[in-house]
Amino acid sequence: MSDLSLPGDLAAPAAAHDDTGWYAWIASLDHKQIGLMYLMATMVFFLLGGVQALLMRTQLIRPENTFLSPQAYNEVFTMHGTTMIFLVVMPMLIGLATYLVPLQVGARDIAFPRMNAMSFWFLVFGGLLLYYSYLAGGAPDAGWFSYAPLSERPFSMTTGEDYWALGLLATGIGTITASINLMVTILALRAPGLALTRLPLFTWMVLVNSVLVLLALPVLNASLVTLLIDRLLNAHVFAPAGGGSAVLWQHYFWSFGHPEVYIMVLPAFGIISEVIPVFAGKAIYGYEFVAASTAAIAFLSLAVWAHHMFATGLGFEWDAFFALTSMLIAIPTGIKILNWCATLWGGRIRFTTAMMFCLAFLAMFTIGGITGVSFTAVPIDWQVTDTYYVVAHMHYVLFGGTAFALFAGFYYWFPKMTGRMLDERWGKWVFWLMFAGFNLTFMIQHVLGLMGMPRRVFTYPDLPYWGLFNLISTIGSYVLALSVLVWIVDVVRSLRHGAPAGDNPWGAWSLEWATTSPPPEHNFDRVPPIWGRRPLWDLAHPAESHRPPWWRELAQRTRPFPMPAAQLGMMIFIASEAMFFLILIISYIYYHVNPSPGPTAAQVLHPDRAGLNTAFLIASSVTLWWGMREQTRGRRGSFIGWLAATIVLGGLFLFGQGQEWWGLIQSNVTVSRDLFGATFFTLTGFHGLHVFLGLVLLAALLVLALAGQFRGRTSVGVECVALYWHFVDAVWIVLYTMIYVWAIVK
Amino acid sequence: MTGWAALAAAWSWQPSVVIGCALAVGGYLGLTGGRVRGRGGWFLSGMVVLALALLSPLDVLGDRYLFSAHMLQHMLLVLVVPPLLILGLPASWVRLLLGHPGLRRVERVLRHPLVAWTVGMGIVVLWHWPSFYNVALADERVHVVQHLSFLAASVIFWWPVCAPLAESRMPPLGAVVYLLAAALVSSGLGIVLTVTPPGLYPAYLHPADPIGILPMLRTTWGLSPEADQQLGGLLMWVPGGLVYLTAILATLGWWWRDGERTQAGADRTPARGIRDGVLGGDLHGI
Repeated sequence: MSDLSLPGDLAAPAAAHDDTGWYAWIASLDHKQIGLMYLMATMVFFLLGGVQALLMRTQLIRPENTFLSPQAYNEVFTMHGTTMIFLVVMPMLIGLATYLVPLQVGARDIAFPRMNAMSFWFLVFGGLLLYYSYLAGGAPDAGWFSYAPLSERPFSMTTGEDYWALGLLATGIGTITASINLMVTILALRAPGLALTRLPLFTWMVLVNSVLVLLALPVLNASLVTLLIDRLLNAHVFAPAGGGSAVLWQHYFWSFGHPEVYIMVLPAFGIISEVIPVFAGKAIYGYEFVAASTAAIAFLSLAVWAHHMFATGLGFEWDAFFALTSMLIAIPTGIKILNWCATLWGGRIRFTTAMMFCLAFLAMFTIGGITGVSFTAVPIDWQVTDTYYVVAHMHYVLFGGTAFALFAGFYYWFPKMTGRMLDERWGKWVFWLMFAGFNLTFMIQHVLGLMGMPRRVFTYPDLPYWGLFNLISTIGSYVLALSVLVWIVDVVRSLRHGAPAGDNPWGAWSLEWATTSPPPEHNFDRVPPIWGRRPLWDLAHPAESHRPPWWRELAQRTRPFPMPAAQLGMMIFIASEAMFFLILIISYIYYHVNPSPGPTAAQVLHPDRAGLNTAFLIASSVTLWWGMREQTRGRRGSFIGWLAATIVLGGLFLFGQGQEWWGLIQSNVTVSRDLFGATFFTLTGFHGLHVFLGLVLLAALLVLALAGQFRGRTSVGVECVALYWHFVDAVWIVLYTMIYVWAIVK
Repeated sequence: MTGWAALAAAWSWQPSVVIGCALAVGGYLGLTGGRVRGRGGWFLSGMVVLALALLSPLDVLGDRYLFSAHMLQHMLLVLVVPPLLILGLPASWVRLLLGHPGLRRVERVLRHPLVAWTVGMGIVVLWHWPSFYNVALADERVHVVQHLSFLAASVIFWWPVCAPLAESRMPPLGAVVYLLAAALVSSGLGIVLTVTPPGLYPAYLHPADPIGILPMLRTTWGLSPEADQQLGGLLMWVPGGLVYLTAILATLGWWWRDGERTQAGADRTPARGIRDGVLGGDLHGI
């Protein structure tokens, strides 16, 4: 449909990239290629996770089956959950965002292309680490959430858990850096005229989602490193046998885990908000409500984590408050569903495959949402927790919700990404097979759960109807598998013989449709003028869209973001690091207030010596600040000198830290001795690591300066490193006050 | 008297508060000439909440008996009264005050998001340190200082979010991050108060019983010292968080409404005054 394309459409360039071999892809820094690699990698993991699901369903096809041993079953459900969440859904959404967001904001590329590539390769690295566990003595088998103490040493002796933690650490780092990239792109690289109030809803959801990622993933990372320290260095932070708290793991994990499920669904909401209006021929109803309710969901998602812990005995007050907040979170979600329905109302609906997946999403996600709300009635939760009712709920929201939205997005954006249309007839087969298979598999599991069938158990007794219902569910899973096969065939066929797509096959309105399919490497030859939320529609209807006169349009151009992108990125990174330290600090405080037998801070620490160390570190911040002042005055030599002084002072701090640790270890105060030791060394250790990395960065600056760089009055690189260094110092001030002053005085 | 009746009758008509509120309301009505349209409603609601917080039985309940009641009172002073009062200020008054160069400099410093946030959250967190909180419970003068500092610091905190003049306010998305960070800190503090064993503030463990309602509190209401402290923490955490969420949603709503107005109406309406004041223009004739 070319009536919405720009006048004087330019033909697609002959080749989007100079070379197209394997190496070009592996070394690519182009956000589109990286986005496609995300999608391809996650599709591979999707197939792996799907095979694991089929293995489980086959084992459960009849009572007392012996297809999988109990150990194998435990490994399969752990790997299925971990794969689907960390290696499929999250990275698929991030990959889609990586591809789309720069296009939707009219940018040439994402903010930090090299970091973008790093994010992707960390995903691959993490996935390989996780799956390497099969070759190293057995996959992890403690569930995707690895509850303590099952995940701790005496109960999980193989290295599976270690690979689980390491793999997730790697993917977690990749997710955080990808979100920093996306946030900075959205805030700082928008085309002129694209005010933040005019963002396409997919981009808005990605923005809000990125904030959630930056708050939640560091919590996971901190928990994972603590678990690794427990397992590999014999600490007992989560091990009750050594005075630790297993419930603390649950608090930490679900403080990550609940925002995580919203991280997995918000971009899906964004996809739905893009696709439904286009195929209903109407603008989204209540843009502000959809956008504001997203912010509300993100906020509330941080306040509901203990609803995963109703059965751990937290007490009436906790249960009541978390039940309340969990019920509240249904409201903004419901607002969205109603807005999408209102968008459909009175529209001229085109039943393309993408639209059908959206319509199915509305129904399936609502079902999943309703069963979710049923859990907020705590007594109901007590009955159905850890049964197949939960499995059904979670798959309705994650598969019927997110996965259906991803398929909708796939059918919607495949033409843009590849330049070829997918076959609508095959698409309808994929849709109906998937819809039927999905519901056949999971609807009956609600009943099984209510009948009491527990989850994560390799088999079940021959109780009335249990065998029949499980058989139905397994047959459904095979239909689902068939639909995925049909889909793969459709994709391969269309890549070879699909109809050419053109710029805007659907008649859509956002900026990605204003360029060729696939877009050239630089994304846009010319970004269209923007004065509303639907740029291409406005362009085609200048009178109705109230196009302002040229001088007012010029005045309304978005001002450039007030700071360099790199600086914004560093500040966002620092915020995520603050969350990481927060969890380690909480661990320290918790075990200070609930001490176990063993040496305490007051007995073994020397605040005066640590105070001298602190003085060195604070002085290093002062020297760095002074050096940068010298730089703004043009005195390069002085700048270099003060920079060197900063490095020396930082080195002195580390040396002092090392001395203190040596002294402590000599007097048998170690990570494994007691919980003071575990939390003290973890906290100061990670801080020391940050100082070390800061020194590396400062040394790099020094070398560059000596080689003749930084000739100007200011430098973004120096600013960014300075921000990081001052942050590290600020963290130490907090740590010193807490560990050496408060913990000793109290 | 039964417990409920004794409680309901326990209003504390402190002269300083009564006179102060009366002066404030009187001054406001006088200067606005008695015309109290939308903006005046905010201001008067704020004053009513302030008066209720400080004069109603909530005051006695919080001072003498229940940590959770005291928490509720403080939340009203920190989260409800200041934004209402600020929303009720006419833009013209503020511009008049800021005409004075000294005041303008002070306002410019205080309205910087980092300053306002640190002052606002710092005062709240600081006063919950047991040493300080217990002194305020014991000494009435310190208690007055505590309440005044809560009000002052919170006005500073809310100023860059909802001040009447556009130049005093920070960008809307920045305000969302500002409020989110505040919610996280106050939630964190609330969580600490909820999980710490009772006894942080010993005065609440065995309170004296001036109006004879302690049995009702402990048995009918079921508020042991432990439940009381937990409830206090939970109040700060959950309803407190919801206030910040409401402020975030309101900020987003203003942001989009402003954006639409600028977009659609900018051609026709005069440039001056369209973005004056959060509520769209000041009272006529002021």
